[in-house]
Amino acid sequence: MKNIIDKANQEGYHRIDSAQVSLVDIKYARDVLPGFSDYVIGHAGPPVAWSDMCGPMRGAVVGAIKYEGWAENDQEAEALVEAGRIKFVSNHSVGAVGPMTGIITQSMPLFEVLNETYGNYAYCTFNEGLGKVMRFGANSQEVIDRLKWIETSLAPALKEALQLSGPINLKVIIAQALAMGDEMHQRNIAASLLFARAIMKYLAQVSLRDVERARIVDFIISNEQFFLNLAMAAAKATMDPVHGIPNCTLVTAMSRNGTSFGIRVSGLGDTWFEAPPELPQGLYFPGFSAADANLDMGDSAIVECMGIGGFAMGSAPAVVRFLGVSSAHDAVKYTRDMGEITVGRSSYYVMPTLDFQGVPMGIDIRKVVETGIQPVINTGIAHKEAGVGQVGAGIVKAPMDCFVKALLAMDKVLE
Amino acid sequence: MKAKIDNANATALQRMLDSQPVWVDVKAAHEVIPAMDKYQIFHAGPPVSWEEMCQPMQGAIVAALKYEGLATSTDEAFALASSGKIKFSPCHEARAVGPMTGIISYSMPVLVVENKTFGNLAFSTINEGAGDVLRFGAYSDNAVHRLIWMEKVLAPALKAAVNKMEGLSLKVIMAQALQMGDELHMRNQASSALFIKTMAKPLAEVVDDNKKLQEIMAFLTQNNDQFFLNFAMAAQKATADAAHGIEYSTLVTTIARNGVNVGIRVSGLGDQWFTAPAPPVDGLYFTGFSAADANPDIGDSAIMETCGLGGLAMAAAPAVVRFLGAGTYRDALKYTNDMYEITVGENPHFAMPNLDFRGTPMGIDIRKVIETSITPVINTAIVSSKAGVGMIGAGVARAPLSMFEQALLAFVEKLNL
Repeated sequence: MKNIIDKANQEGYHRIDSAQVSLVDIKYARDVLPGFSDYVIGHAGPPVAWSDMCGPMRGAVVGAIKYEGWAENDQEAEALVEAGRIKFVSNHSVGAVGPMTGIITQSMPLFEVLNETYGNYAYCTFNEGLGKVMRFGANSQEVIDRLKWIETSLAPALKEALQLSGPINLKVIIAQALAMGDEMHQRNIAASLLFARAIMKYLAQVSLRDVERARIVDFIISNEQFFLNLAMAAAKATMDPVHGIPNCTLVTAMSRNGTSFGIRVSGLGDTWFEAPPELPQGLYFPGFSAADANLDMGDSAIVECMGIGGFAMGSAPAVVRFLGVSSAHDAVKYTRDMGEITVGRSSYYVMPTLDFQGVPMGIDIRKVVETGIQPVINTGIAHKEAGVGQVGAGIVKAPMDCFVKALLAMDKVLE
Repeated sequence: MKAKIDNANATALQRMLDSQPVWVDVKAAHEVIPAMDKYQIFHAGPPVSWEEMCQPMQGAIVAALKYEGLATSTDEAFALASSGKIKFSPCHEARAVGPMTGIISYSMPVLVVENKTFGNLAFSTINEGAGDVLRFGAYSDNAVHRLIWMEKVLAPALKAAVNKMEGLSLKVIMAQALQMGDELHMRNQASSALFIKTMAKPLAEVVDDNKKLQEIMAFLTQNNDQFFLNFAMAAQKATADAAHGIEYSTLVTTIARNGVNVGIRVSGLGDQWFTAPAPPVDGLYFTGFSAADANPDIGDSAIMETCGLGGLAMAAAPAVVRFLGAGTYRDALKYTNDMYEITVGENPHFAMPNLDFRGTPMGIDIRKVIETSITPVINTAIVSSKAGVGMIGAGVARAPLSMFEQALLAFVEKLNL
């Protein structure tokens, strides 16, 4: 039996390692996500009902309804939801991911990432930048206006630039940025720059008014987390072909809706194995403390499934201070520990600080339960009330219960 | 006497640490170098005559003479260069630096960097990118045309953008890039990307002609990972110059190579060069090339090491170690740890995450070099010994010990007087 599982896991590992992911196009959600029309809202994490949603996610839902024009104001928007008119969908179930609240509606532009090796696509929203943003639950007019600008100006310009440039290989950018101190979850400084550099020549060719071009350029280059959403789409496109291998115990998704933490396992179909999320341990911005923090949230933990983020902390010593980890030494320890619960090392994503060892990838639920080592996730921390936004950043561990439940379920389905 | 020297070195070090190099302008070389005429050419390293020059440097001079319109053919240019009509001097003696051959001629646009703390200026040429470029000794039409494009299109745009921004702090970009795996000499991936990030919007605003903007963006973003090197060199030159001329100071303020000789200058020893034959470079060669094809070490870019970056900051840039054929991550840490043995301080502005945010080693003391026999490590490109072939590899060179011996002897002699 052990052999059958090991073999299935080797196949899973091979699919992660051999994925070739490129940004190929910009598409609108209504054109690519099944069922995305009026009154449908995608969210981060496993499925969750309105009554169970955390503050920031509720805030983002209200914002999305106003953005789509389904309601005029907050009260109307909430009434619409209370009346059961809104259909909520887990992003992961439609091939998409979104950071933090992860809200997606039909008019939103999405990055389209193609896994050239396996032919599958994955989608992610655009990063809105810092400050008052929907991914942290903000829904003011400023937030809606920015989303409209992203939809009507930024997205068409990027789409045209992409048509000129052709596909942009994200695997290459991720590998380069790893050597430049990014772990691609809480630090995307290098990756964002490399992406900006790749697209800049073509953005210059798109016919735009000078003032609009300057605004677009400024938006892309002034956001150090711009690439996060691309890394997420790359990770989703990488992990989806790993899903559905019989007898495979590898984790293909970890995701949080702010109320519940869920994982999916390759050989266990579309079931989410859920447990209450933990509170991130980290550093808070001035004026905020752990008492203000929402529980762990977002689809962004898909990057850890692929071996970056918390798993690649050893490659990003500069991020440790931002996350409240004490030293570069500790950063390396996180990465070493993750080697204990994964089945292999990436051949492409190598870490110079660990003598060019590959990042640990392919989380095996058996190893997690055996060793008691929980996957580590680097994360932003949202305020628990809607609209306040980010209050810090830190590290959170995937709850052990998810893995225990999945392992028990595996026992039943083993062929 | 020891206390006097230590004090002087502390002063020199503090001046390096306090320096705030800011890119303020782009000007033609003749606008910033006093009394420069068309028949004057500046080169990398200590002084060298036309006859003694290595082939790449001669090739670069031929390119410069064609670019200036002083010769219409390669043959004419060679004849003019060897006629005695052209006056050659080191860039360093004109407050300037240039990578590899380091050639600066009359019309070339140079980056103007001001050390805001002390008011002194430093200059560097603009990086030409990869391929057949003057800095590696190419004198093809393509190399010359690129120089003309840089003068007519790129330089005015950069000038307008930096004027609009009222200056750009280079120290900030360098500190950030150091945390992103650059050592700023042979790896400028992050710094060049940070530069583009900072300049993209101002450039989009000041360049009205869309075709020109496209050309500029293509030049800055394609195949030009070393673009920032020249900014960093000018920043380091402005920093080193501020520490030069402190009486009794034994700190090195220049390390530069002309492809034949390498020379150093010392803060308390005026403008005297102490030279030794340029060492071979130990490194990795591109396919089809070997050490037999290599020119000895060349370029003013060792100004990076002079002020604590490049080879001295190798620990910050483990990815460069493989490119240079210099071993493993552990070796990268060892290079930097060794350099603490020959420096008098650390630069807290340049913190290296891999060493738990320790500052880069700063202020090379000739006394410590002699005491320990540890010589400064220089990361460098390797150029073919034939003009026009270009870059054939990258590696690590050591500054020869004999220069430091000569300098220390001169220092002792000066004290005895």
